[in-house]
Amino acid sequence: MKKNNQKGFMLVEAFVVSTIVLGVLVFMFIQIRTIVNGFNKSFSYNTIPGIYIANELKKIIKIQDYDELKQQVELTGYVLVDEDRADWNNMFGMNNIKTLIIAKDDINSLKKIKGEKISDKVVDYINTITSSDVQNAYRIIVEFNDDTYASIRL
Amino acid sequence: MKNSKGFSIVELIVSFSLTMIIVIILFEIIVYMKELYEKSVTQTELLNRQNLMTDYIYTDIMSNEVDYIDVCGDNCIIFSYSNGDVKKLEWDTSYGSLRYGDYVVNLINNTNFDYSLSLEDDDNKLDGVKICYGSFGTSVPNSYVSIKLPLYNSLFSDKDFGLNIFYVYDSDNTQLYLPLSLDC
Repeated sequence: MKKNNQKGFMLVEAFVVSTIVLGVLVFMFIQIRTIVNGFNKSFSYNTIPGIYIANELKKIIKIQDYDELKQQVELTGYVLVDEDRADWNNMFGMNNIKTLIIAKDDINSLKKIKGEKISDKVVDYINTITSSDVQNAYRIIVEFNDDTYASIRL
Repeated sequence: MKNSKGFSIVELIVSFSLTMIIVIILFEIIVYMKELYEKSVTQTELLNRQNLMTDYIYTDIMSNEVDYIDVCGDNCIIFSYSNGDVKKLEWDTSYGSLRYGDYVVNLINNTNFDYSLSLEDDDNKLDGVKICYGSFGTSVPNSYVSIKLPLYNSLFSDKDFGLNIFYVYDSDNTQLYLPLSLDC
């Protein structure tokens, strides 16, 4: 009577084990990628040089049509300062600024805004900013060309 | 009777192939993690030095008004403050160091200044720095100055880990005696 060979691996078993191992590796890769992205973001958000530049820009904003800007912010929730605005084009180029937003300090509404000139990356950064309940307070949000971001209260 | 023990050649080849693929993937992950670790250590060190120097300079600028900013020799800019403090910002492009007042930062390996930038002022030469300044409007403050001292590391060729000092001031209170870069 012939007996079937019960020893050794079958091809199907090898495939199953390999699939499980590869699945674990893919899962690990995804987790590591998430950690690395978070790590890179931590270097990009609220950089020290960016915050100091934003602080200097605050001085300019407070003397350049500040009341008009506040009214616009109250109406629309935020204002995108255009580099074509008088006196600003030098500031943009000199400080490698890509986007400059003036918004209310309570930026919950801004967290869902998407526009032509507000990229997803800026929205991602805005989502990390802690909103406040202070009335009549405003905030400046700066995106730089090197993908760093900074924000301070006006 | 046939010998039914052992593995067939096909099973062996397939098993070894699958194992090799998994080993190669694991090896790639280890190499990637090692490179990532080295990059992160370097980036952290570069950013720490940049942040400390920037913080040190801006603490003075924000707490005391600047009386004047002038050139004080080759690769040297002097800041004079309203409280009487005078501090020099000096950088050594050959040795690779940056000094502001009493604080000195040595550049880490493979970090260099931007040698394409150069300015001259009377008998002095400023290498690796870009200086822009101008005025806007009539309200106070009405002027600005930007002093950039870029630093690049070979691991991060597109990132600047140098100084970027941007100061907005009243031209009646602060005097500038600096050369102007051509491409401002």
